Amino acid sequence: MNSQEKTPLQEMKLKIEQIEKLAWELNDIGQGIPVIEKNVQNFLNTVFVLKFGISDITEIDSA
Amino acid sequence: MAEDSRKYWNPFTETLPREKIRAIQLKNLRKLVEYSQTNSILYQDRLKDINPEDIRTIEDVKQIPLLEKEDLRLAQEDKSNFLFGDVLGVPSERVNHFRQTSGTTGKPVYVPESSESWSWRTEIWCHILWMAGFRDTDRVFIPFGYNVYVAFWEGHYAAEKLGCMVVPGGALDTKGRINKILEVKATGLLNTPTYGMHLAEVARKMGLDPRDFGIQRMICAGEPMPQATRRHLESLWETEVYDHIGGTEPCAWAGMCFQRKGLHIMEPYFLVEILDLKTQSREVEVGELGVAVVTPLGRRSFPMIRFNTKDIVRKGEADCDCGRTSMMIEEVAGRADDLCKIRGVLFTPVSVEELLRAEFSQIGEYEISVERQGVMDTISLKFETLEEIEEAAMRMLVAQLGERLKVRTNLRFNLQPVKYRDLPRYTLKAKRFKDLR
Repeated sequence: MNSQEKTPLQEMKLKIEQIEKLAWELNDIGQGIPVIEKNVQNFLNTVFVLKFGISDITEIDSA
Repeated sequence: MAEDSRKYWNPFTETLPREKIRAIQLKNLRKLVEYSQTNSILYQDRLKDINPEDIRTIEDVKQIPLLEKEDLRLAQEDKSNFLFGDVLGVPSERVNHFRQTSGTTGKPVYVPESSESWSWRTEIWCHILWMAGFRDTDRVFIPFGYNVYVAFWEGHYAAEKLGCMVVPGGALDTKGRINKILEVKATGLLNTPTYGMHLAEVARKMGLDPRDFGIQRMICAGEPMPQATRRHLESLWETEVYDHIGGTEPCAWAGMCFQRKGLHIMEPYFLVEILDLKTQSREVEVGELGVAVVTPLGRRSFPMIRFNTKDIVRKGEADCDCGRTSMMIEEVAGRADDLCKIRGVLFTPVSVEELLRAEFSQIGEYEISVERQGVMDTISLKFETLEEIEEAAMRMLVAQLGERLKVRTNLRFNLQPVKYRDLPRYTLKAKRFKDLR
């Protein structure tokens, strides 16, 4: 694997970050609309859990 | 890789080298300290002399005082921040799960969970269930009304997340639950060890053999379960029985893999210290008993650092054939609350449970009580036999039991056989030990 290539873990971390960013963007657009706000919270809960199980490891690897 | 990765709920965290586990724990401990200082009234005071940057190694956590259950009670008593007082780590409108401790040792502690923290707790239980072999093909029956008690709620949510079909059995009586197990062809059960035995006992009285029910795995919660009790349950149900350890305040923090030889600590999600019983300051050696002090590293609604669980455990090694690299608990030896001295002898009720389940299968329910008569402590054991037995056989049983108890505990028991169903039955936490001194 050359140094530019991402490991599966790094790719997963990137996708988790993208999901988080998209969730907040959706939240901003749908501010005040319960169906958006409450379901976005569910996305963010999942993101929180995935950061613990996935993103943490890549951060330690790259530290 | 694909097949191997399905062996673990999270193949990355569960097989991490030890030094990486430590590094993640350290990173998240610092984050938790910083978060708690900012968001929890309880910790603003407790951590006022701590700078997160000064926590450079895991051992530095010892700068932080132990958190006792009584500290939590005081932090909730007469506080204006209804209902959770100073323990709350998020604005109260973000709390959407209310749980509480059972109140066995005093006033119950109210436990606030935000949806984020609840997701984290559920994730921990996903590890526990997956490790025990639960999969989306399982039909899981939970024979309780869970009320405000946390473990079965966690098990319920986690089993759903795994994709299991979850059947709650709360509103039924025991016979109704047995019929429901048969009706839905349940493959998995979540219950206390006591209730697992009671279900089997009632099934037999109904003329049914629980070994024919097709239960493939059972996971127990709510009470300490010595190996002898676990094996006894396995033989009653002809199934695999898995243990775990946890509590309402810190969450479940260790679970059992298919090897069924001790418990895996849920690292790096938790930082668990096992401290010597006397000073509670020195990390014990492998093989030594100690008290478990637990820091859940991912809870924000109820931040908790160095919670003294009062669970007495034997420290194991990070060495299991399943391939997981987490530290292990060899056994759960009981509760510090139950550890007492009787006529100068250190006694834990778990030793009686172990003996009865390993050697006296004819005995069902039992109750231990300690009283002071004059200057002497006396210890009594009331017990029921599952089947009625003749007087001569009972005399022999009493003699054998007394002898074995003496060898096991160094105490002479006053033994009192009682009629079947004279003793109370328990669904959740059994209270079989009464210190009346």
